[in-house]
Amino acid sequence: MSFWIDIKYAARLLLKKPLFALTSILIVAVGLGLTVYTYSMLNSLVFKPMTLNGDVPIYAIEAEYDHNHLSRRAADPFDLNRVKRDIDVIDDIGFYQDGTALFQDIEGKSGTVKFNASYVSWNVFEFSSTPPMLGRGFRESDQQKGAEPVVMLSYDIWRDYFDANEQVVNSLLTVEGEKMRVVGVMPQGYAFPMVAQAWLLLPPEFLAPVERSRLSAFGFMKLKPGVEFSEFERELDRVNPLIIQDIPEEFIWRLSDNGSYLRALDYKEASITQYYSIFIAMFIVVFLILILACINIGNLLLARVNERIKEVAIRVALGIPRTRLVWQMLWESIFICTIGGFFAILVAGWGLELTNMLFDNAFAVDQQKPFWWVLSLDSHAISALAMTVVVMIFITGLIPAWRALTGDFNAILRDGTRGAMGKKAAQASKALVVSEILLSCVVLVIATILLFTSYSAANADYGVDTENRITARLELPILAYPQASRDAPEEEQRKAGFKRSDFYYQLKEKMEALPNVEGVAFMSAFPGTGEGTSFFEIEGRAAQVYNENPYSNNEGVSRDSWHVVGMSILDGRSFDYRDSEPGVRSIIINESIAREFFPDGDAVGKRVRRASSRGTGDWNTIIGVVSDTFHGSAMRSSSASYNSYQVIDVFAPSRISIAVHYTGRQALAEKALRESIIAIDPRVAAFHVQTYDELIYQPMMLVTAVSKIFLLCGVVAVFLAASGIYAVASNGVTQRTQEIGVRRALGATDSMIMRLFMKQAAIQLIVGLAFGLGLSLWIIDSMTDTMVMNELSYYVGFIAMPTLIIAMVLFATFIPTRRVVLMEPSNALHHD
Amino acid sequence: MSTENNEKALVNLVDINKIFYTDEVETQALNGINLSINKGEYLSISGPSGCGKSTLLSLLGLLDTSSNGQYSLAGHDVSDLSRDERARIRNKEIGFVFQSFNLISDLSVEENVALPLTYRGDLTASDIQQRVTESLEKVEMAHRGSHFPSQLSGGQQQRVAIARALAGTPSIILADEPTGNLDSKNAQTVMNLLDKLHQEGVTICMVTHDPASAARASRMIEVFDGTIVADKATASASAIAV
Repeated sequence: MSFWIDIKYAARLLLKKPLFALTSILIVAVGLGLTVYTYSMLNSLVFKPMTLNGDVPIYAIEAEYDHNHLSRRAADPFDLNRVKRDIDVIDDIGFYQDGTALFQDIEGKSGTVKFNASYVSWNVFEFSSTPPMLGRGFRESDQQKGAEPVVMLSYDIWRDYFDANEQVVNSLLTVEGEKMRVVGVMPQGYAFPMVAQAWLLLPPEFLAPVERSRLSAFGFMKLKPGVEFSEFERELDRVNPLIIQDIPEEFIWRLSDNGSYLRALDYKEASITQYYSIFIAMFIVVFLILILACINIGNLLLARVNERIKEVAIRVALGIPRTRLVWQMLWESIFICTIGGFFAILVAGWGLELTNMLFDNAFAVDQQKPFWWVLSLDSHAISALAMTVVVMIFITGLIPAWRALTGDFNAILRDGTRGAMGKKAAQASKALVVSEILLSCVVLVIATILLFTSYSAANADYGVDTENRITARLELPILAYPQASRDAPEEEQRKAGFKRSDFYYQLKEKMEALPNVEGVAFMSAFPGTGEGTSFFEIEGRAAQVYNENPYSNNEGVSRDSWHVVGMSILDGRSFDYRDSEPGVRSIIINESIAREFFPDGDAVGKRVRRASSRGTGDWNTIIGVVSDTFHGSAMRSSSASYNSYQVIDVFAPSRISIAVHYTGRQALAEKALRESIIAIDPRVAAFHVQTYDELIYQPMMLVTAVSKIFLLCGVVAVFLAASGIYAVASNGVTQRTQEIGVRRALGATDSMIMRLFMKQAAIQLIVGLAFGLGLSLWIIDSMTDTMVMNELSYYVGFIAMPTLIIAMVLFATFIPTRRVVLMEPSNALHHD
Repeated sequence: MSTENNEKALVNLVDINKIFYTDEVETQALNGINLSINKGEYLSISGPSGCGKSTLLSLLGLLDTSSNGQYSLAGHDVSDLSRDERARIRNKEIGFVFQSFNLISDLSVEENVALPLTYRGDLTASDIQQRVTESLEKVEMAHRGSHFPSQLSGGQQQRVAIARALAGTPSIILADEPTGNLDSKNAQTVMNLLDKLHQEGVTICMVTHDPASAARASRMIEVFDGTIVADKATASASAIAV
């Protein structure tokens, strides 16, 4: 009965002050909504272990991460098999390589279509406990030498390219120039290991390799039931050195720069290693926002209790039990947090829906979205929300309850005023302000730095003209354009290379003859993409250790290409036929390298060569200096401003990027590209057709998306910080109204009071900002492994944001203090 | 006692009115108050709740302004001073003792007593310390200088408040129900202290509704509905005179 009275009373109090109620609910909804949204997103993307259809987590096993190129590295299947053999706790293991496959002669479709293909070991479907929807899965015999080549289709490909025709199972398709039998179709949504649209089997050599080779694969594995991952890690720590010890000199390149080799980690985490620290930062920021929201609500309720302190004192005088008093304070929190929690679900659900759309748009071109990147509010998120609501109720309810329990009710009842603010209450108020400053500082600084960095990267000068340029990736079928083995005679290698470059130059010539095409260029990766650096040695100036040499990004480029993307030769000459002569190795460096390492302008004619832990390459003669460009995203630490180029004629790759400078409509240029390819060789696939601007935007897409979330966090943080700091400071000043009255009665002038309060605010600012900036710096520093923070963003983050907070705090102190100071001292002394 | 001709009075109020406006309600708190207080007088103001005695004390202490009328303090017209000028006069000429002590809980006893002196700006730290020590010795609280208000009893807190009021050597001490929050024993101690200060020549104006306390003053004023209805010397005054 008494509880029911308290509930009704709390509801009545909230209805009596609708603005307070709405503000509180809004703060909870936004703070909690953002938390649930981020939790759901990070859970789906990173934290929730992948189990597929089983209940055992799946782990990745592969070579150590390549920090120079920010990429994962595959391992020798021989070593992966050894791990499987030597570590008893592994239940099942499989291998894969992600790639593409060119499908030809699909009925009713012209040309060649490229799909994301996973080259897998035969047990992949059994491993993932997912049987095919049609047909059969792979068998061990399919991977044996001499077996008929087989392919498995994804549901989407089967629906979109084969019109959902069940007859396609058992039919023969030309894949990568080879006839393959379709053995089945996987269910909708299945894309394990990552982004597969079709599955092909790894060559038989992967099945049970008996010796080391240059073959590479990534591993996926499950542990035996009941085995903890830490147990496996200990076993891997034991086996890893033994494997490293056995690696002969010719395979030393398998090791990372620090000499380590295999790593095992959560399957999802492996796929986003370069972004992991950003996700963690995001989680920290959102968690801080939640605390900020809690403090704000707690403070609002504290202010409410202060307003009602006399009523509380009367209740205490009437003998209310402490537990019931606490419950009375909690009921308002229960209402606010529960209703706010309900709206938080809507906020989070809406945010997840938007993010799903964002992901779909982001990966529309390359279809590289990992299959688990589908966000939803699952039972974990709802449980987390419920738990957070309960925690929030306690945090926000206990602050006013503590105030209600610790008040000097005798004094309050005796003189009808609150009396001077108690020491504990004063300390609590100061702690609240400092907490607000600290949390706001961290959230705003990180959000601003990331935002500015991504904005600057998107608007960075990559040294190229992107207007009226489309780009695409071309892939030559391996059977028609074979790669000569590395051990083959140079003549054979040159022959194979020329065959590929012939196609590229034919395409260039054909397209440049078109009236709407200004020029065509090929590069292994155009500026704005192609991150990664390697060390190079300047003849006569070699460093003692290879990694003390300078480093640059190196790309292959076709002849007569610079102007197509707005680059130009500044010194020396461009590539021509002389550079494809046997024994000739020419290189063009960019202006930055020339300026830094050949300041006397004598770069042309000098020789450089690659240097790594595995030795040095052939000497290359510098024949020219080209204008500066930036390869990779300006946000990534692996991106480079030192670039060098070699002509593709002799060692043309099977996959290359093409840029077409066109006039008129973009669609016509794309059509011209596709038609020209078909006219020369219909087996060649063109994919990822997009504008150059979109190409540059691609590598930043995830970080940009995360930055947008940070922007939202920043906006929420500003809102929470501004309202919270004002409310906390205002509440603190209001509680000290009587003290101000006393000070004025004793002769303090208005300016003395203002100075006193502003000085106290300044001390709180110094403490809050010192810790806040320190924490921000630590978090930002942990992200710089994978990201290059824009220099300007540091100024904005570490100067503008603290300035904003200083302004907010001083304003939030000045206004309420001024209001109280302007009261007559007699009113201030009797303020209730 | 009429004061219009008393130019030597420390405090001189002439036809003071105070009207409060709340929403559409007009409340006449004080109505044509004429009052003078001479240096060295011990005055009590009494009357029923809501009669305007505390409002009168607030006006005397420059904690509030009158709606009209003239107020001079120590020979200076203080009716129309700026806020800062009023603050300076409060600091130098007036000492306050409140019913609820109004010590600042964050400050130690010594810091509380030093507070009005720190607002002057013309005293050295050693001057301040000396005055603080003297004031605390007067109220026999010097041994608790480093304690905080929460560590003191009500009576002790009020003695510290009196020390604070004395520290600035004001022309007058205004006490608003100084024993209102105290038990009888502590109340007696505080009243004895005020008596002692009066005997030392300190001018005291005390609001009280306790007849016994009022009777200890040398002059007693009764206020009713915002008007002074009685102004008489007390037996104590006669005793002192004798």
